[in-house]
Amino acid sequence: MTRRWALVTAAAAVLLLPSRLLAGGLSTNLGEVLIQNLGIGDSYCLKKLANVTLSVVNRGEDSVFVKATPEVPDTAELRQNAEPIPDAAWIKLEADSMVLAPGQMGVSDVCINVPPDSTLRGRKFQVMIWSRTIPRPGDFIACGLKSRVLFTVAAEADSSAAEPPGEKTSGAASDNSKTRDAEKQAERKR
Amino acid sequence: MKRTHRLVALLGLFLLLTVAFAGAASAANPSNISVTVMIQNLSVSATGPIDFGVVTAGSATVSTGSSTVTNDGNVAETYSVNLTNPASWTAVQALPGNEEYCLSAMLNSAQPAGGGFTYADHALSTVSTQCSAAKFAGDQNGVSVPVSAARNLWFKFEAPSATAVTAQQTIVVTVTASAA
Repeated sequence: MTRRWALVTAAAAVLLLPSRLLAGGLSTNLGEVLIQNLGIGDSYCLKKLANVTLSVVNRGEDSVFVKATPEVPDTAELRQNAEPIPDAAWIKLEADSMVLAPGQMGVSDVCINVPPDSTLRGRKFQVMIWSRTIPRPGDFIACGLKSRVLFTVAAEADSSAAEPPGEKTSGAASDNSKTRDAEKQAERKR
Repeated sequence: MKRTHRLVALLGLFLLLTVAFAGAASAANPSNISVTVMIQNLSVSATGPIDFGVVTAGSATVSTGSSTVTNDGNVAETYSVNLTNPASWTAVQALPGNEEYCLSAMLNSAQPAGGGFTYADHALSTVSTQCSAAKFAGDQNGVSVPVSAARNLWFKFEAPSATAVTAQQTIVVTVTASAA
């Protein structure tokens, strides 16, 4: 104890001296995606569904280790009257970590597994995909991106003759957005 | 002939099963799925490091330099901030005790006074917390930051009241951007 206080009073100091400069940056083209009319008990991957992937580019000057995880959004992050996804484990990433050289792009498919629970019908959920750099020793600042994934679960068991529920996709698209395959045929599990 | 009948029967059975399976699938699942993708370039960059130099136990220090956080994407962004603890210390959002520390962050155009930081609005934790009009705000905030805009992120470090650690410690701060 005496030695401990001696350390504290004699040195009485703590150094916070990161060893090197950093100018890091990350970018992605997946800011937000909305998928409507998913069926309960089914799995959907964005690449197959709409040729969309989570693409992350290292815009820094050094190689970085990037980790991506699905996260339950907090209240402030919710959009479009969505509920937070009940369990982030519904979302699977094809690649949840990657090492990227400066300027290099890493790609991961994003898959949604909707549990076979009829109480999910007609509801809209949101999950955040958090991609961020894992700092090396001496780094002080890390960068991250949160991609917003929203999806609705079909209200009816068989909606083959009905309009998909929720917003019209064409109306949801803005100037810097694009609706892809507004009416795509669902992939069926065998 | 007998063999032909058997083949026809098998084929018929196969077709029957296929139709039955397809019927069951369409009855259980929606047939149309729509996907809307916002084509955005979400991008953030940040500079560092922030050097607090030598600080005494129980003291509070405001950084003399800031980290510049830039929205270099093509849509407005809202930031979230969190930290990662060093090996020997634990972050708290209150006056720190032994082997505890408090790191606070504020978006401000110039170096803020130490008294401008509050635990409620500026103390960082390991949980990624979204900026608001008050959260991590000074005369700037991290809400709907316009394209190409830069923000200055300042830090206040409150050292442990007592510690056995005298070696250099690094606390990692992660700045995360999401579409506003």
